[in-house]
Amino acid sequence: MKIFLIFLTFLALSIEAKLKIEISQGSKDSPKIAIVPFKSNMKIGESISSLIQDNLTLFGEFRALPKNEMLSFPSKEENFFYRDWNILNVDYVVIGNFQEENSQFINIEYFVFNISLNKLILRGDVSGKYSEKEKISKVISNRVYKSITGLNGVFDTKIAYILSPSREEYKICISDIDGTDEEVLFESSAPLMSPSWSSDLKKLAYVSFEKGYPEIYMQDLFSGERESIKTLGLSNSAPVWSPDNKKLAFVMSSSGNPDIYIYNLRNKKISRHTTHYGIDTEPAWSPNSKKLLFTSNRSGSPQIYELTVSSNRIKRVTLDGDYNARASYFPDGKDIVLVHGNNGVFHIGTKKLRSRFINTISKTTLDESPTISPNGNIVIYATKNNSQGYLAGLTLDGKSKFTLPVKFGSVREPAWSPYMN
Amino acid sequence: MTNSFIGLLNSIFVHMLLFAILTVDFSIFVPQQDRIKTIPVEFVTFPMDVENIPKKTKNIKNESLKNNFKKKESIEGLKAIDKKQLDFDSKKNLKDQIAETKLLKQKREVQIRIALIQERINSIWKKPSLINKNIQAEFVINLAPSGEILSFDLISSSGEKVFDDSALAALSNISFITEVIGLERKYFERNFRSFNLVFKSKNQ
Repeated sequence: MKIFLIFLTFLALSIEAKLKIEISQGSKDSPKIAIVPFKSNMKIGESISSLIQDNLTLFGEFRALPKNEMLSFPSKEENFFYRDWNILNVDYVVIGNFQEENSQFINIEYFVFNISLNKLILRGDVSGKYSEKEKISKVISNRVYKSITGLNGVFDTKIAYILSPSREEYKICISDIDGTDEEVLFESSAPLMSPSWSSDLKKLAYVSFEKGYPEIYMQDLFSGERESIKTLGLSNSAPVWSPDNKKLAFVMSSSGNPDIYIYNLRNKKISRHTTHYGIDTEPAWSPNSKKLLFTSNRSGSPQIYELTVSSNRIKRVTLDGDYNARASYFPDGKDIVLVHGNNGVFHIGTKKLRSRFINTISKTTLDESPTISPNGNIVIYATKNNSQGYLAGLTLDGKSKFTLPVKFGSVREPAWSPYMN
Repeated sequence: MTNSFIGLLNSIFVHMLLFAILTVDFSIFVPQQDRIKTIPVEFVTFPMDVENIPKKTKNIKNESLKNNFKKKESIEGLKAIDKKQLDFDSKKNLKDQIAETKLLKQKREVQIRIALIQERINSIWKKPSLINKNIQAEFVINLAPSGEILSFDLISSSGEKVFDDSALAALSNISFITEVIGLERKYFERNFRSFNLVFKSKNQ
């Protein structure tokens, strides 16, 4: 037994003695991807591959190889040669061909290759109406993205925001995440605020001042019907739909002091969850719909707190900085994104719930209203350039920063939709 | 009869005397030479082994040798020994310092190579954006002294295929770790012949 123990000790020491080199940074470059024009008898082949390329490069997560640098244009697995892409230092290649195509219907077969590993990592096919090529290209983009990154793609998700072409013109708009297909949901000459998606993507809640005071509305996205929440207080704001779609958290000032309330969407009852004399506002649901983050100035400056809904137990989350606000959870519920301010400069930051440290991720200085992609990998936020509001974004690995297409007017308060199932 | 008895006694006495003289001469002569020869050798070999000197003198039985030795342990002799001792101390320190410097140099050399390898692999590793996952994949790398990667094997998976594949792709893109070229052979063998690379999703 003793000899065995001594042997084990020596074994452990010999293992310990081996050199270990840690690699944790990774390259600053994004992976290089080649989307080869899909073989087609109609012009749609090139336009589909072009749309996929636009999607995959939208947030700067991939660099695309220009078509004129490609050495070959394979469309099937059997005529694909890795060396043609190895020479070009390409990391991934997407090829495809049309199995069936006419003016009504298309069926596309596609392949994704990992060049470094000399490996086919995805083979799939998708079919649909010829007129829905944008939708088809988003489906392919999502699947390609998942095969490479392991994360669900968000190219078919939508974004809601407040567009204000002038001081007396306010619109609640919804567009695809790339800024296309913008639709105006509601417009008013009075301010509109705080759009929030229902998790079933059927409704949008927001605040309207159309009656001269802030009132919460829930609008059906298909019928356009609007419903306001009847409350006793005259000042209601910051509605947020719970992920389980059963409740709506909001802020009400029944006695002049804003507190966090929850509106039960089933029995239409309202419950009060904070009672402090300080201002409690900007609630945000945890992914399991059991907790809420909110901003409160109860300690003297705006800080983030976490409320357990069942017990009303409150825990302070942020300790550093003279301004921390507008927090929301990442999809894993362990990290949060927030607006972090110091001496009048406001950045977007991230923070682990269990750690004290706040990591600022944006470089612009007047950033507000961050919204996280459903896959937790991208943050879009509102910022300003010469008083003109626009939407900017970044990937959380810090490799990529981007701005969304400029609108005719100031853009504020983006709200990223949940996944489109 | 009496004469013959006296003659016998004389003869016995003479023989005994002769035997005694011969025996005593022999016993004195041989060990004297041996000990005289050995002592100076010990002084030369371990000049500063002062602690051992009294122990050795204890074994010397012969008085004359003891006196001889005592003469060598004069004050001047002791001074010389002290000087030698100091010289040896400084030599020893110097040797230690040289050894220490060599070790430091070796450590520095190895650390520089490690930093260069880290920089190189970081520059080619396209880390996936699994931003909230704290995972790691460990590989064992076997190198030739030329820096050629003889083999690499995944010994501990991260549990995320995409993450493991990204590290595999980075290693597949390099044939040589040239950063180890020029390193003294024994340091190469000790550190880089076979080492582990740990790819981490988060910088801790």
